[in-house]
Amino acid sequence: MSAIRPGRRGRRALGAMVCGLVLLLTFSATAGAHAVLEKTSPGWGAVLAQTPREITLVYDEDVVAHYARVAVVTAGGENLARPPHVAGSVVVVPLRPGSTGSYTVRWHMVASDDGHVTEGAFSFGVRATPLPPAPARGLSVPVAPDVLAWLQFLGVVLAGGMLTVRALALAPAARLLGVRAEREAGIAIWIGVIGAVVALHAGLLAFLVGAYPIVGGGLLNVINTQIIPIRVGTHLGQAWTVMTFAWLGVLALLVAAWVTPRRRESLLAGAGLLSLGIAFGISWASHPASRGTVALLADYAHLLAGALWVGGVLAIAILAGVVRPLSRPTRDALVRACLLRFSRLAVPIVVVLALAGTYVAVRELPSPSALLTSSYGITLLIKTLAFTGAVALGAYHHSVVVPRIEGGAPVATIRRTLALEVSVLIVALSLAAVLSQTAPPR
Amino acid sequence: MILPQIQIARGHWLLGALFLAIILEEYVPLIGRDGRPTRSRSLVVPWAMMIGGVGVWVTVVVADVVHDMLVHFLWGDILFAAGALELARRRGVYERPWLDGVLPFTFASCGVLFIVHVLIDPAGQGAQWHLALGILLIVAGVLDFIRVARRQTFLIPLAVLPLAAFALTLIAIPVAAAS
Repeated sequence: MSAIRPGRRGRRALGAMVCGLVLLLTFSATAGAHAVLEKTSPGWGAVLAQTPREITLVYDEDVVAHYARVAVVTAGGENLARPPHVAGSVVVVPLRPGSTGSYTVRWHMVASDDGHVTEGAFSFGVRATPLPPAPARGLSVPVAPDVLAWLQFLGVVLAGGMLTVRALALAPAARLLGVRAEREAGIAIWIGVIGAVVALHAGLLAFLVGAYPIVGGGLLNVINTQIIPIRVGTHLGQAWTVMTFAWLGVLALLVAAWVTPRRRESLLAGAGLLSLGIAFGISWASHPASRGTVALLADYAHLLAGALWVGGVLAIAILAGVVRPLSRPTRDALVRACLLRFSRLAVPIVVVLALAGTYVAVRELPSPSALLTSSYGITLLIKTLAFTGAVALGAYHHSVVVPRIEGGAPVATIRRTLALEVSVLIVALSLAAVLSQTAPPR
Repeated sequence: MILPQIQIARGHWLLGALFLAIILEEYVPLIGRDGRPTRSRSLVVPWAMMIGGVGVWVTVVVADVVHDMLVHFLWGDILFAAGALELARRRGVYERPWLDGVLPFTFASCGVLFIVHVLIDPAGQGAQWHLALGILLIVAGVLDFIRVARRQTFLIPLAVLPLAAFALTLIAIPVAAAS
């Protein structure tokens, strides 16, 4: 089959075309025939001196007065809104007097031209900093948020932990031994891509699942929800926005690593580091973030150490399983060198994991007895047990298996216990995901 | 993000012109060759698709309404994956017979998503234009699939026609809106 190569001109045109396309698609139309909230008084996140007598919502098209519903809810759940007055695209909602605090405005409109429903929520404060829009009472989330959290953790482990440990342990060992483990690199790229794609999509779904109870209304109407205030005004939305862009960057780096073998290792290392950076977004949108900067950083350190540990063990397990095209002595030498390097990294990683996890637990639990009396505490206890089991296996590898392998024993001896350690760590990761979605006791 | 109508119209016009340039760059060099099975090695199309995919995902992030997010994320996934596969093939790092179907599948599935978008919001702005764009992409996908399956170069102009019509329709939208 013949091939036609692009000329120099074509390559020059490429840059201009691509840049243009990016700009165009970035700013492509997102307006539709739905009633989109254009302006509010008070505005999103405004801080007022006293409770307003009324609030005004201005839409980009006329809405049906009969179906207009607006609730203005205090932190205690009291609705201060009286029936709204609608004039074309302007909705005015008189309010009963209220006290100091944060207020959530939750609205539901029907466009007069096409009858489509839009919903949304935003918040403002009266002599107080407005909190993110509060969830509507009695609404449950239809998709398990723990599963979505677990998938996001898995993405950080696969793309962040595995690729970073690979760059720290495998790449230098392979360089020293003069080995090119092409097949292993190909598998690492695919695992990284799977991790990034899974995390990107789990992040989108987690954001929508998190936004659903904030907006309220029916599940079918959620597709017509106006999402901007939640994206801009909550940690959930802010973290999702940044993480989405970063995961796209990770995917771009992985594709670049795939198609440019000469720069593969540095691009894979970059993708790993960026993925670990993304984990900060997960911490930013979690419970510890509300406990102050130290708790936030501790949670992030805990997540990073966990990702490096699980990802590192996974990288070694993959290496031990897939470098078969190499000769037996070369393969053994490579796995041995990687194992020794990772073994040196593992001790500080486990120490950071334990210290940061203990600090976060102490901040989240009001008393030691909460470990046994709250669902958060019980989940934390089970997770700690799983973690202890993984530490025991890790210690066995560190103190028994690694010295044996260092002394010349075949690397095959480690495969079974390594697989066991991966399994225990995946259980611990699942429990961490459940924990991230469980409200700490107060 | 709500953009002024004039900016949206200008965006359509530029997007149409750019799309026309890209497909001509991709297909015109293939026309009129000696009849042997040929395929382009140009990197313009894969890069445009991948960057387009990222751009569409950016639209997911800045979308006003949830259904816009849902349609655009699928669109972004298809464009990014197709771009990555085409790029790998054209750089010679990944070769499979089924890769011939990537471009036709991309055209057809993007066309289907145009129609899904219209079905979700049938009274939406420019719904009829979007419907036409979707049908043109589906036709282009089917014709291009026949072209790669039969491996006959004389079918290339046939597949290019609906793609060119797609680009010209994009260009026509602001003209129609202004008149």
